[in-house]
Amino acid sequence: MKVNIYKKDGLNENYISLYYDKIDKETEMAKAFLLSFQKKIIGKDRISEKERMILPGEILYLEMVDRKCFLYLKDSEWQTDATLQRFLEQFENQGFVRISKSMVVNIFHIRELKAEANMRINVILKNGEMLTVNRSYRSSFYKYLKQLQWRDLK
Amino acid sequence: MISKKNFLPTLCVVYTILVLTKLILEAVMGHTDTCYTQNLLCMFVVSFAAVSVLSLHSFLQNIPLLFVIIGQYLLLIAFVEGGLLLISLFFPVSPEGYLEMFLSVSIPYGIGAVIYYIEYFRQIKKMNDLLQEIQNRDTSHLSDHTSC
Repeated sequence: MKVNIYKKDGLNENYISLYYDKIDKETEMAKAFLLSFQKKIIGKDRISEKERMILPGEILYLEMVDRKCFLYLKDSEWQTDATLQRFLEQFENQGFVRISKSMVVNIFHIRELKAEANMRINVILKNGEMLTVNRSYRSSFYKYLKQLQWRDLK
Repeated sequence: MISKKNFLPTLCVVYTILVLTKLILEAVMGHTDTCYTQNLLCMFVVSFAAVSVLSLHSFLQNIPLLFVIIGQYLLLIAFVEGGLLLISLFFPVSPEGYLEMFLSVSIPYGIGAVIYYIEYFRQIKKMNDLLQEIQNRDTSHLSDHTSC
């Protein structure tokens, strides 16, 4: 495996990207090692009460229901003790943005945005699920995308 | 969105645009306004009413937007025409005054609503483009590096 290291001035945050065609044992080990540096959150299964460390990148969206915070992954959902605000304080720069009073979405799992006649925005996720950006969160959502666009281009 | 913070600047911008439009139209049509002061004051009152009504938008998030736009329009017209009726008790108001006031409010409001809708759909397209760019950006740094 070839390793290239680049110095790039002006980055807001250092990052590591791993490129592979087919994942072999060596690549798998490198991936596991790199992922261990990422901040994780603890999710609890509602029924079995089993706990699991969840990487932010796995989360499609979060929702507050009855004052409880739920993380929605591709094929499972977990409860966390964090509030939306606390979650955003830690992971806002990893693609998470609030779209309503009770919902935060990971923009890297969005397939497209669709306009609704009543000025709300429908968020179509890559797994086909649909969320809604509340009208009052539209400008901050747009501002967030613009901030992310310029983050690493400075 | 009109909020407490931007209420005054929005009011100033709206009033300035209305006054400039009035002056330009008068210059182009060669019309002289015989009730200059009263009309300028009237335009300020209408601007204030319009901005106040539009600022109610934030309380009406759960109502379909079309109903909000129509409701706000009706409220504004009622306020303006009602105000004119009140003024007519103390000062003479020309018979065409009600129709002219109706048109003076409806035309800018209609134009504003159309612009607002167009801007909304344009913003959605921009957001989709931004999303694509951000999601594809993982490979962009390969073309811009200095090895060490």
